[in-house]
Amino acid sequence: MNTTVYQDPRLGAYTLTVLDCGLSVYIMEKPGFSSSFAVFGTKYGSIDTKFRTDAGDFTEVPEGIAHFLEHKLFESEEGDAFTRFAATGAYANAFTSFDRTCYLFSCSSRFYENLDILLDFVQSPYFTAQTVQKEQGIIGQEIRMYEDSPGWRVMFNMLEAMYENHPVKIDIAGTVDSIAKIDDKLLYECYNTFYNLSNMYICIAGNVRTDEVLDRIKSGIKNDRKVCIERGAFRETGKVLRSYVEQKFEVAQPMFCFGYKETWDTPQRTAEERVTAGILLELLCGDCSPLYKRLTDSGLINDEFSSEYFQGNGYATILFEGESSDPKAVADAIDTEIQRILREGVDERLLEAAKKSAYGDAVRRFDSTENIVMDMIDCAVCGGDLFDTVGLLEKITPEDILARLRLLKKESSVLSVILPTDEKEI
Amino acid sequence: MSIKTVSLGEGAEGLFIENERFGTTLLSLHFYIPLSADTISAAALLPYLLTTCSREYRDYTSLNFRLLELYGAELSCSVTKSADCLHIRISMSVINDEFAFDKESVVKQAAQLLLSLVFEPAVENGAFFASDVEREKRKTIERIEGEINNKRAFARTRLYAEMFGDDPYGIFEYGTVEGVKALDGKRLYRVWASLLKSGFIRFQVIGKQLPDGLFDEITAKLEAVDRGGITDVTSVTPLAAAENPRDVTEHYKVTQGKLVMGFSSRIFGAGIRSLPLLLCTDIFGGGPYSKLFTNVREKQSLCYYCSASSVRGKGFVVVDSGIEEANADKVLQAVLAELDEVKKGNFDAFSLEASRKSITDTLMAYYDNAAVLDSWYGMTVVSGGLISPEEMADAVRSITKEQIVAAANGLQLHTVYRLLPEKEGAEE
Repeated sequence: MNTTVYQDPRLGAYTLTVLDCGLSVYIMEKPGFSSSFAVFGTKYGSIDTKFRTDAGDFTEVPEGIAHFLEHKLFESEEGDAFTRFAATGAYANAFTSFDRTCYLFSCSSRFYENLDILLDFVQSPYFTAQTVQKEQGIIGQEIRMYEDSPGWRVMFNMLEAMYENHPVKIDIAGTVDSIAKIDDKLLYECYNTFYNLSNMYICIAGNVRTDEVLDRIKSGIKNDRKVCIERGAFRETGKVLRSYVEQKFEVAQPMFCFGYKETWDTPQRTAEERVTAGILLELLCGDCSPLYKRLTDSGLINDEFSSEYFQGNGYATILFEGESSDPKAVADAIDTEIQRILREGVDERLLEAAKKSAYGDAVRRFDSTENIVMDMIDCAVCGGDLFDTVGLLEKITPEDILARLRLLKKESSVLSVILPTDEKEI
Repeated sequence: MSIKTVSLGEGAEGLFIENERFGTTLLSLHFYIPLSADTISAAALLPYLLTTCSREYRDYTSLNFRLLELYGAELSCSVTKSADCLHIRISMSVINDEFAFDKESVVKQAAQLLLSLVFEPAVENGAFFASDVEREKRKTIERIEGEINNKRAFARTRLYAEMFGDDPYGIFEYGTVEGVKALDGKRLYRVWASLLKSGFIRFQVIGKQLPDGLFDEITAKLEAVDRGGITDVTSVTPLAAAENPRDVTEHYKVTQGKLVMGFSSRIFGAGIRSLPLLLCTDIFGGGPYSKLFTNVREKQSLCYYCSASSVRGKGFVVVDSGIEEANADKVLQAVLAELDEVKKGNFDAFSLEASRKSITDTLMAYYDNAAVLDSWYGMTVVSGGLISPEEMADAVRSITKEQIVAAANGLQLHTVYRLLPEKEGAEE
C-alpha cells in the first residue's frame, strides 16, 4: 500500500492510496459537510470494444456492452443493489461514458454501510441468459429515447463524420442490433477483464475519515487478481470522412455541432493541454469575446451556445454546439475568428481575466463533493491531480494559446446540423 | 449553520444563512408576483434583460468582463411558477474574499453589482433600450419554441396546458410567442417598476459572512420605491378535480412515445401539511423502491422510465413515461392499477421506511449545496413559514401509513396526454 498526500494552501488536502491489489483510492475529507459522495469505477467505457489480456488475438465485442454491463451489475441472485440502498436511504446510480463506468452513491447518514454495499455489488456479477434478454428490452427503449434527442444525435452525427475507425463515434448504449448480440458469456468476459481492481478506482469526498474508509475498503476486497489489459489501437489521421452532415428532426430551428479534430502523437491529453484548451475557448468564444458579441448581435446564436474540449483515449476535438438559423455562418465565423487571433495576437487583458475566472471556477468546484469526486475520476482515468489547474493557469502564455489555435485546421473540421423537418436542405 | 432574518420594509425581507462550509457566497434576489396571462411574457423576459446590461455596464460584453474579473462570478436568473405566483430569481455566486489574490472584498463588490443590475438598469425616458429588448425578445422566443426539442419536457408542458385550461398555471413559464412579440421597452419598464413596487421580495445571502451594511443598503433602495399593494404570496387555487378525465393525443416525428398523466389532489400547499402527498407520490412512483419502478418498469419492462412527482404547492401529481406506442394503453392501465394499490394501502413497511429514509437523507444533503439551499428558502416564501430542511426531515419521519393512504385516495385522474409517433404515410 502506498499513500500520497496532495495539499494546496487554499483548497485543502486529499490522499491517493494505491492498495497492493492495484486499486486506487482517492479520499478528500470535508468534515464540515453533512453528506458524502462515493464512486467505485473502472477504466472501461464504450470505446473499449477491442482488447486482449495475453499475447493472443484481440477480442472484439459488440458496441454498447460496457453500458449493458453497468445495467446488469445492479442485479444479484438475492435481489438488486437499489433495494439494498433503499434500506439505508442513500441515493444510488451509475453511468457509462466513453472511457469509464462508475457506480455511485451519496448519503448524509450510514456512510460505511453504504460503502459496504457498493464494494459488494460491484464485485459480485450475476448474469444469466434470462436476465440478459430482459435487459435487452429496457436498453432498447433507452436507445430509442436517445434517437429522439436532437442534441444527442447532432453530436454523434459529427463524430461519425469525423472519425474513421475510433469507436468514440458509436453511441455509448450501442444499437438495437449490437446489443442483441450480447449474452451472459460475453458479459463475464468483459467483467473479468476490466473489473479487476488494478484497472479500478474508488473516489470519495465528504464527512468521512480516511483511515476508516481505507480499512473498510481493504476488508471488502473480494478478488485481488491482477489482469494486464492491452486495448486495441484505432488508426486515425487528421482527415475527416465528411465535412458536413445533416439530419431532419422535429425541432424549432436548426441545431449544430461544429468540431475541429485534433491529431496528437500520444493518445491521452495532459492536464496542461486540457487547461490551455479551456482558456483558449474562453478567449475564442466566451461570453465577452468579440466573436460571441458578433454572433449574438447578428442573431446567429442564443443562450444554448456552448463550447467544450472533448477528449479521451485516442480522440480530441474542440467543439461548439448550439441553435442557429444559419449554422454554416456560425462555423465560418468561428474559423474566421481563429485566423484573426492568429494574425493579430491574443488579447492579453482578456487572457488575464479568463485565468482569474478559471481560478474562481477551480475554487468553486471544491464546494461540491460530487464535483470533487468527478474531478478525482478524471485524475484516475486521464492523469493529473486535483490541484493542477491553479498552478497550470499561472503559466499559460499568449504563445501557448496561439500554438493550440494552430492545431485547429479547417480541413479537419466537421459541421453537423439538425434541420427542422419542414426546412429545405442547406 | 444559523439563520438571521431582517425586515427590509413592507413585503420585503432579508435572510442571512451562515454556512461555513463553502468557499463561495451566494447572493440572490427573489421576486414573487401574481401569475397572470397578461404579464407572464414580460415578467419572464425581464430577468434576462436585467442580467445582460445595466446603466453602468451598457452591454453584455462589458458586464461579462466584469464578472470574469470578479473571479468568474456566476450571474444567473430563473423564472418558475410557484402556486399562484411567478417566482423570478436573480443570483450571483462569487468566491469568498479569503480566496482572492490580494484578499480584496469580492463578495461586497459582487453584491453591489447584483443590486445595481436590478435597481439601476439601462433605461431612458421610461423605457428599456430597443436594441436590448429586441435581442432578449429573440432569445426568449427561441427559448419558448425550443421547448419542443426535448420531448419529455415538451410532453409535460403540453399536459399542463391541457390540464389547467384558463388557469394561467397552464402557460409555459416563459410566456407565449405572441406575448413576447408584443413587448416593447416601455411595457417592460412598467413591469420592472411594478416588480419593485408590489412584488414580494426576499434577499438571501448564503455564506461565511454577511457583507457590512448590505441589508441596510437594500432597505434604502426599497424605501426610495413607493412600495404598496404587495403580492399575496399565500393565495393558492388548487387544480380542481375533473368530472371526466380528458385524453389528448398528438403525433410528432418521434421514435419513442410519451405518456403523461396528471392527477388532481385533495391535499395542496408546499408546507408540512402536504407532506403525506410527498410520501404518497414517492411510494407510488418516486425512488427505485416505488410501485412504478419495481412493477411497471422492472417487472413488466413496459418503459425505460416511468415516474411520479408531486407539485404540492398547486395540488397535483404527474406521472410521465417513455413508451412504445403499442403499449400506451397497457402502461396507462398499469399505472392506474399501481395507484389503486397505494390507495388500498397495499405497500409494505419496507417501502414506507425506504421512502422516509430517502427523503430525509436528501433533505439533510441540502445543507451541502448553496444553490439548493437558496431554492429551499426561496420556496418558503409561498409555503407559509420559514422551515429548515432538518425540521422538514423530522416531520417526514412522523408521517403515518394512514396519512399516506388518505393522500392517495385524494388523487383523481384529470388529464392524459400522449405524444406518439406519426403514422406512416401521414401528411405533415
